[in-house]
Amino acid sequence: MLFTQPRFLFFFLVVFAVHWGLRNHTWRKGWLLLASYAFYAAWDWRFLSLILVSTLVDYVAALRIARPGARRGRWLALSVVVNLVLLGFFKYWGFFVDSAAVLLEWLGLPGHLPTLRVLLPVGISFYTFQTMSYSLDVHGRRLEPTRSLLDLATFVSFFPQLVAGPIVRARFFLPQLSERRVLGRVDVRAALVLFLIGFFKKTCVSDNLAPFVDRYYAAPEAFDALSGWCAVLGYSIQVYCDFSGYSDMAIACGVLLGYRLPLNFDFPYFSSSMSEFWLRWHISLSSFLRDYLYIPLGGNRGSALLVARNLMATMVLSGLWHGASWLFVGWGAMHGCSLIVHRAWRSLAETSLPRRLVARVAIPLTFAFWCCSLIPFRATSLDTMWSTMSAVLLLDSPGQGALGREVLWAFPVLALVHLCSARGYTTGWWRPLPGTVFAAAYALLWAFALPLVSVDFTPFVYFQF
Amino acid sequence: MRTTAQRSASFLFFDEPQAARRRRVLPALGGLLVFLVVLACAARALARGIASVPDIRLEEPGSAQIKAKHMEAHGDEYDLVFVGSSRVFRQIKPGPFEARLEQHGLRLETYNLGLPGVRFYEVVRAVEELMDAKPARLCYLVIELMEPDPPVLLENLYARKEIAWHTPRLTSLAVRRVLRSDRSPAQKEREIRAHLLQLSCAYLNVGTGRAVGAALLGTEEVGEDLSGAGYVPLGGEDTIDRRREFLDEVDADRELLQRRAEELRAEPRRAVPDDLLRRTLAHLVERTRSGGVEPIFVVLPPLDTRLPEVVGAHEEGVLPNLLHYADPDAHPDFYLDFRELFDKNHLDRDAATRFTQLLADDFAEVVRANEED
Repeated sequence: MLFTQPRFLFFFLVVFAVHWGLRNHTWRKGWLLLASYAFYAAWDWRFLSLILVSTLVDYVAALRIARPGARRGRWLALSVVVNLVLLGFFKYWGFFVDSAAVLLEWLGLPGHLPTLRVLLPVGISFYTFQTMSYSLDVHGRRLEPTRSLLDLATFVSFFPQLVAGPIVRARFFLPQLSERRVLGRVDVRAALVLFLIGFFKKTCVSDNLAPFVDRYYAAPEAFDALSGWCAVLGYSIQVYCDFSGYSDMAIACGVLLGYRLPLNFDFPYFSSSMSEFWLRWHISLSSFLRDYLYIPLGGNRGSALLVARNLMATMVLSGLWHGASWLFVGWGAMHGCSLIVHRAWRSLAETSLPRRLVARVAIPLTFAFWCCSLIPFRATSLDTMWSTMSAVLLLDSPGQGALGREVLWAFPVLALVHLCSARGYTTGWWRPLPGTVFAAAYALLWAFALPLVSVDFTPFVYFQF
Repeated sequence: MRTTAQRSASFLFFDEPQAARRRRVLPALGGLLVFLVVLACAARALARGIASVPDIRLEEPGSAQIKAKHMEAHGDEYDLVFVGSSRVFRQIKPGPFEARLEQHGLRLETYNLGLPGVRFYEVVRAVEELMDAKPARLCYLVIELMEPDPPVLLENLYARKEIAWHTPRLTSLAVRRVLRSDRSPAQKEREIRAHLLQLSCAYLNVGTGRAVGAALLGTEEVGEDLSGAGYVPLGGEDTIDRRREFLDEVDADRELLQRRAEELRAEPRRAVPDDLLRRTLAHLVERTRSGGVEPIFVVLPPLDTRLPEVVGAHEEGVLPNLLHYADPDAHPDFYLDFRELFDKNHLDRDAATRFTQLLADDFAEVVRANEED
C-alpha cells in the first residue's frame, strides 16, 4: 500500500478517526500497533515475523544490557548480530554468494555455492537500523530501556516510516510514546499541506520524469549529449522528489497522529560541498552512520590518514546499504573520496578565497558532482554507465536522438519553486486563513495537482532498500 | 549544526492546544464539506478548460489519437463508421466493403474506427461520443458487440482508455453488473473499487496534464492516418510473435480449434438478456436513431462466445439489426481452419477480405429490408 494510492487514504482516515476517538493512551498505541502491522501485512504478511523477531530480541537485549552487573557487551552483540544477520541474509545473500563464486573462480578453486532466490522484505534496511539504534543507545547509556513491549513494538513498526524511513532513533521517538498525544497541539493545516507537497513531488514531478530517464538509460548510445544531460539532471530531480516526497508524506502522517518524525531532507541541492550535502540528504541515514559508525571508528580524531579511513569506511558501507552490488560499493567509495578531497581543500584553500565566491561556484559544482555520481547509481550496466558518462563529461555521444526537450522548460521552473521553498516564501501562508478559506484553497491546490499526476505506475525508488 | 531533534518537524506542532475537542469536530466536518464541494467544482471547471486547449489529444497515444484526429478532420465525409475492437480494426476492410456494396447498388463512404483492446463499455462510450459530434453525412453505425461484463484489468487500471469511458452512468452500469455477476465476493470488491477509482480519476482529470503540456508546447505530433480508411492488417513486426505463438499452440494441440468450437456449440444459442444489458442496448439504439443514424450490431468471428443474451435481445426486438457470425457451424472456416486465422482472436488477411465481403452482402440485405419496411 503506497501513500499515493487511494486505498491508503481510506486506511489512514480510519486509523486517524479511531486513534483520536480513543481516549486511553495505551489503547491508542495498541491501535497504532495493529494498524502498523496491517499496513505492513498489506505488502507481505509473511515478513511480519521478521519485525516481531527484531523487536523481541532488542526488547530483551536492552533490558538485559541495563541490568546491574550484566554482560552488557554480549547482549549488545546479540542485538546487533541478529539484526545484521536478518539484513545480511535477506538483502545480501545473493551478493555474497556471487562475489564468493567469482573469487573462488579467480583463485582456480571449485565454486559450487548454494543459490537461493531470497525475497527482499520491504523496509528491512530501515527497521533493522532502528532497532539496533535502540540497543546501541541503551548500551551507550543515552537512553533508559523501556519496560513496555507495546511502546517498543509501536516504535519499530510505526507505519508512516516503516517501509522507507526516515530512520527514527529510539531516543527521539520513545519519549513521545510515553506522553499522551493531544490533537489540539497538531498544526493539522501544516501537516495537510506537507502531505500535498510530498504527493506532488512524488506523483507529479518524479513519476513524470521517470519515463524520460528510463528511455535514455535503456539505450544512451541512441541519444545526443544534450539528452544525456537532460537524463542525468532529470534523474537527480526524480530521485530527490521521489525520496523527499515520500519522507514529507511520512512526516505529515506521523504529525497527524500526533508524533514528530525527524526531517530527512534539508534542501540538499543548495549545498556548497559534499560534506554539507551529506548533512542535508537522507539526514536520518547519514546521522545514523555518523553516530554509530564514523564516530566509534574515531571520527575526526587522529591523523588525516585515520580520518580518511573512517570517512571511506562509512561511505562504502553507506553505498552497500543502498544496494547489494559492487556498483553501489564503488558509488559509496566515490563519495568517500569526495569527502576526503573536501577536507583537504578546506584546510588548504577555503580560508584564502572570498566566501561568497566560493559559495556561488561551489553550489553548482557540488550539484553537478552529485548528478554525475548518480550515473552509476542509475545505470543498468557498466556499458550504460560509460556511455552516459562519455555523453555528459566529454559531450561525446554517437546517437542523434533528442530526448523529450519539453523537460528542459520544467527544470528552471522547478529550480525556482525549490529556491522559494528554501527561502521560506511558501511556508505559513495557511495560518491566517479562516477555516473555510483554507479548505477551499486546499481543494484548489488538489484540483490543479491531480491532472499532473503521472498515470504510469512507478514504485518509490527507495523501496528497494 | 542543528541536531536531528532540532531538525524535527517542530513547526508542525503548537506549544499549546488550540481548541477544545468538541469545538474542533464540527468545523473540521464543515471544512471537509467545503473541500469536497470546491474540489468537485474546480475539477469540472478544469475539465472544460482542458477540453478547450487547442490541439489537445486526450486519447491513448497511437492508433486512438490518429483515428480521433482523422475523424475530427474528415468525419463529415463518411456515411458509415465501424466501431469496435481489434476484430473490427484488423478484419473489416473499407475498400473491399465499399466495392461489394456497389455491386448491390449502394454507394457509401466508410471508415474503420476499430481500435485494439477496446471492450464493451468503451464501445458504448465511443458511440455516445460519435453521436455527440454527429458527423454530417453519417447514416449508419456498425457496432461490434462483445462480452458485456468484462473483468477489470488491474494492469490497465490507470490507462487513459480505461479511465476515459467512466462516466457516472456507465460506471453505475458496470458496478451493478459486477454485483449481479457470479464472481467471488473478493473479486467483486476489487472490481467495484477499481471502477470507482477510475470514475474518480476521470472526474478529477487525473493524468491529463501531460496531454495539456504536449498540446501547449506542441511536442506531441500526431501522425496522419495512412492506413487506408482505418484498417491495418495483421502481420507487422508488432504482431508477428502472436502468430508464431498461435501456430506453436496449434502444433502442440491439434484438437485446440475443434475443442474451442465444441465449447461454443455447447453454449445456448439464445438467452434472456439481463435487464441492465437490455437497457444499455436500447439506449444505444435510441441514441443513434435520435441522431438520424441507423445502428447495425455485429458479433464478429472468431469470438469465443455466442453472446446468447445479445441474440435474445435481438429476438425480443431490442436490437433492430443484428449480424451474427460467432457460429462455428455457420462459418467453419473462421473457427476450424488454422490457415484462416492469424491468432486465436483474429482472422488473417485473406479471411478478413472474405469476411468483409460477407459482411457487405449481409449489410446490403439489412438496408434493403429496412427500406422495404
